[in-house]
Amino acid sequence: MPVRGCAALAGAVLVFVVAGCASGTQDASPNPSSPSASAPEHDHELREVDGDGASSVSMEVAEDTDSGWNVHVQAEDFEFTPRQVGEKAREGEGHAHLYVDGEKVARVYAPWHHLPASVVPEGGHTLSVHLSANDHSSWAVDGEPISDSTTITGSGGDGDHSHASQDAGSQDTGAADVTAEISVQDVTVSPEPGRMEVEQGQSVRLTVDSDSSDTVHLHGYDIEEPVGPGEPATLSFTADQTGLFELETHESGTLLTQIAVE
Amino acid sequence: MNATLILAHGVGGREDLPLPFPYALTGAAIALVVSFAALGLAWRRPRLSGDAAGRPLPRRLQAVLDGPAVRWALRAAGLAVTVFVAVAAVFGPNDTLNPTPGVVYVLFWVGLVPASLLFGPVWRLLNPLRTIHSCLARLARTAPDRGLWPYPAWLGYWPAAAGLFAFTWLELVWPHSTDLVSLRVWFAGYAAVQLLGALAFGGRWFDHGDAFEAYSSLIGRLSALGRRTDGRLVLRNPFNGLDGLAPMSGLAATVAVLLGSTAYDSLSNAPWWTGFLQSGPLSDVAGGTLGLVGAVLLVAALLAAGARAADAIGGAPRAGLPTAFAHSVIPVTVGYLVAHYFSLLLFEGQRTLVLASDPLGTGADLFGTADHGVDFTIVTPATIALVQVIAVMTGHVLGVIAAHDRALRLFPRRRAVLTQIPLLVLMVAYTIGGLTLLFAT
Repeated sequence: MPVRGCAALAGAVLVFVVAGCASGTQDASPNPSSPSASAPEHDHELREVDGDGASSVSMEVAEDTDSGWNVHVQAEDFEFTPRQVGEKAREGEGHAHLYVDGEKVARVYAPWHHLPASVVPEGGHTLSVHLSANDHSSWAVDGEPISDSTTITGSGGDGDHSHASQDAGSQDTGAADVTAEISVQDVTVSPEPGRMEVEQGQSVRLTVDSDSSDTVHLHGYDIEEPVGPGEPATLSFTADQTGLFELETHESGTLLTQIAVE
Repeated sequence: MNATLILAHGVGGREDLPLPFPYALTGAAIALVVSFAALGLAWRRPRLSGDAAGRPLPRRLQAVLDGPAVRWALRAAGLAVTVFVAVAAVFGPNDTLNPTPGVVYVLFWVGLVPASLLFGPVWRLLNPLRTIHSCLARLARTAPDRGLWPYPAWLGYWPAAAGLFAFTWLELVWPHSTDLVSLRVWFAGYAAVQLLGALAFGGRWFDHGDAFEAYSSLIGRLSALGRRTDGRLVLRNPFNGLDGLAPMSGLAATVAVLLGSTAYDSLSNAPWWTGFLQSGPLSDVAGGTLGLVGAVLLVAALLAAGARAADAIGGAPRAGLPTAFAHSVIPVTVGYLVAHYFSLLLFEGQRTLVLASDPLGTGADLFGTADHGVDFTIVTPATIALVQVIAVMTGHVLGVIAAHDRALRLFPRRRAVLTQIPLLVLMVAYTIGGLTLLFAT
């Protein structure tokens, strides 16, 4: 029995492995393959899809009458799935990222997006849009991200100061139940990392200011926003999940604050 | 994906809210009252009979449960799941969608607690390393239990204590705890050490040398299912299971590592601790290692001091007293483990099952769960807090009773009640310390 048992066991494991591999390869062909380990694009790994029937994207940009730009992201064979963000990649689903000269400025969940004047410095700049999967990897065909880009000319922050402050008024001091501003200078966090208390269902807006480029990450809710010198990150969300969550910077792993949702 | 974040519990982005103050206060009050009631009212002669106790299961049922079919099926299951996870760990994408960290830190490490509480030392039956060793030995036509040397008594639980420390260090201190490379290196090293241990001392090595078998069998002492000294499977009072735990070298250290590391996990959630690490001169790893070692040593020192004081009062000096009372710390530890990890198992367990459906990031849906999300509404914060207090209280009460009975056995009857005072102080210190950590961090 013992030796037979071992043999049976080895056989069972073999069958299991083969079945596992088979199901893996079988599923792999019609579905997106795993992200390639190399070729990072804007810190997001590429996720290859078959050229036939792949999503495509084009972009139209019109200057807003008030300030900034209205960006129309036209994605073909693609669905914006904000509820699945952070989950598994699924072909034809996800969101879009907007970049100004390669720096991510916004994550987009709908065809229309207003780009504030404040994120575009004075002069000519390249605005590009990339389609991303739910797991934030970039969709790509033949190693090239599915993207479109165009040139816009910024008037500088001061050029339309009154407009910019109006814009800021609607975006940055809008009706949130709880707000906090955190500043990171040379790895020192002020105010000192503590704990914010928030009631379940309240809207929260966190503004993070940093003297180095990084990504701000709210655990649990898995919200990520880029931050850099002169480019504060704003994280707005509704505190629908109870528990204790940490707000950290991704690269340096510095704790900014904890948020207790009760 | 970036994996340089230190995650509490090694995995997951959510932690429990602090225990509401009234809950913590009520818990502490009950702990005190129960402790003094145990002094004044409880029985005066030892009642527990350890592994001699229990009502046997029907012989036919035992024949099936102990039979080769069930045993090999369990071994095959353990090996198959291990192979599945190993494939995901080696060939899967090294990102947050890989199920491996969740399987290791949630389903395996935390899941072993309820599994062992229900069925006893389950990891012994599933342990893939034991199976591999046993198969190798049989292929080499030697008895699996025979090694090069007999297992030395002085070694006892020490390898398990070291293994548990290494694992909790990986989970709680190492910044890349969810990185697949770290996990592969750790588990490859662990498997190599275990198989060498088994080669040297035979299959019995795993009983006390394998950290996870020791973990599962210590928690399994609280199971209603046990094995009597005559080999019968029995349903028994968990107190007898606990009492039947043979004192061995290194047992106290193993228990101290378990309780100390869990306490450190609570402590490391506190913003002031993180602030201290970030602003201090030490690196994250050095500071974290010091914190973990400090927590384990504190728990061990309290246990040693309590046992020594009991010894002084009992007037019967003997060696190995911390070990003689280590069993009574097990329920305290398990209560705290449950309080600490309950919500993690519920929430991150769900997420791990979802991720496990697509282990290689190929878009596969092996178990049909790939589309599911994590349901965070299955328990409310109030329920979590209640479970935490009840778990800590239950652990305290069980620990007090186990220590009481052991003191009656070890010390002359007239002095036995007095000897318990230091032990009670010890239990109250552990329990109130635990509640404070749950409340204040």
